[in-house]
Amino acid sequence: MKLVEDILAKVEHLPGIPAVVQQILATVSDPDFEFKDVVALVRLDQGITADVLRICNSPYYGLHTEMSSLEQAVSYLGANQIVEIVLSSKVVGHFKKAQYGYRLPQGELWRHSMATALLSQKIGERVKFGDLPTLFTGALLHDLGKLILSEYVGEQFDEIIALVQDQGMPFVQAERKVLGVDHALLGAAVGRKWNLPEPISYAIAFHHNVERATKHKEIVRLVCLANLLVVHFGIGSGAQGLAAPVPQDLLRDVGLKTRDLDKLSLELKDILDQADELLNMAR
Amino acid sequence: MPGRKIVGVGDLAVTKDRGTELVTYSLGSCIGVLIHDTAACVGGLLHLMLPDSTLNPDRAQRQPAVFADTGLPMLFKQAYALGAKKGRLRVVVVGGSQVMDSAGHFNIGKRNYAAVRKIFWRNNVLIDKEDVGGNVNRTVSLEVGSGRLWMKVNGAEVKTL
Repeated sequence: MKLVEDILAKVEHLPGIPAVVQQILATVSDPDFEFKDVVALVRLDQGITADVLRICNSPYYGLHTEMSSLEQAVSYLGANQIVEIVLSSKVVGHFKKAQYGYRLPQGELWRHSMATALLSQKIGERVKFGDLPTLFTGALLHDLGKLILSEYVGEQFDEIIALVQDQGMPFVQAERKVLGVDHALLGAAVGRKWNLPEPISYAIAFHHNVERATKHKEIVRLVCLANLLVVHFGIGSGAQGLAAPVPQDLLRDVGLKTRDLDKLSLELKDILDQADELLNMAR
Repeated sequence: MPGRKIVGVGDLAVTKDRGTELVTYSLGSCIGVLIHDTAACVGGLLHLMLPDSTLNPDRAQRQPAVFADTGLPMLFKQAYALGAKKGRLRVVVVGGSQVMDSAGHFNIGKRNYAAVRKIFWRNNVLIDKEDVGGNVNRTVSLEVGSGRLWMKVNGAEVKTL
């Protein structure tokens, strides 16, 4: 029990995310949010404003005219993409560090998280999911728990990996068995501390255990699928490898067919080719 | 210290520069095909993503290395153009993993491997060594000068192939 208590205590010591980001997330989680409110919040933070301009002028967005003001950038990109940029620029610092316990070199967890978030948008568009900004955030933060758990995974690595290799246990389940908690549930605890909207905390908590989500099942499934595809291509999978379980009926419940996975794989290649600015962004 | 040439996802590189090391990171379901002709000092590395170009012929035109059926011919042709001979080529195949999916929807790795085997069979190419399947990710590297190959599994364990 002592180990679990030590781990949970760390949640309290993890630095928070800026209030302005919490405000933006709260604003866009209201289905009737007004675009100008998001712009007004972005304007409060010079760093975010600069990032919006820098990122919207990157090759990923493929604009032909250089954007030099926030108003211009916002009118071109739309609210969803502004939210993407705000989140990317303000949480990247947490994710950019190496997570040695998971054998993820510096920047690799960020690359994995960003690729998952960008791919979730492609999947969300394909199945006409109604709340893409929340989906983006859930996907971007799904591995939040790894920021804390990495150290403990590193210490108990031999025991965890033995369960994966010898018993064919999914990595997340081995974490839970050895440490008493896994990165998904721990991430949700951090999410609650950061006052993240409930659908985002659910996506984080159940991205490996879709069937256990009692609410917000659609977003949970979409984050689960985006994560699995990114892991499947070995991006930021580190020590976990591909030892991640696919929930029964996931594809059917999301509304996709096997052939769609091949098409989404091509979308992922485009993300990797075009989104360097977002994938590598550091503050 | 050899110069590193990183081969991205769905890309390939062929060279006869003996000072080059070809590397590709994080092969999950993708397959890495490494070829080397010691006599001609030619090395090549293909990181293919999907088995069959009929999925998107336009993409195959623009990025042939994405698919097994368009990437493999290109890899070998480029090596022949630099003086490699088919009979002398050492051929190594790595990757083709998959996540834990009992329903078999995420079987891209297995289909990739099957496609590679089929194309090699039709063209009388023998695989000298392979490390394929399972639930792991693999990083592979080929030193063109020496032909030495190494592989890293799940970001840690290093093996010589």
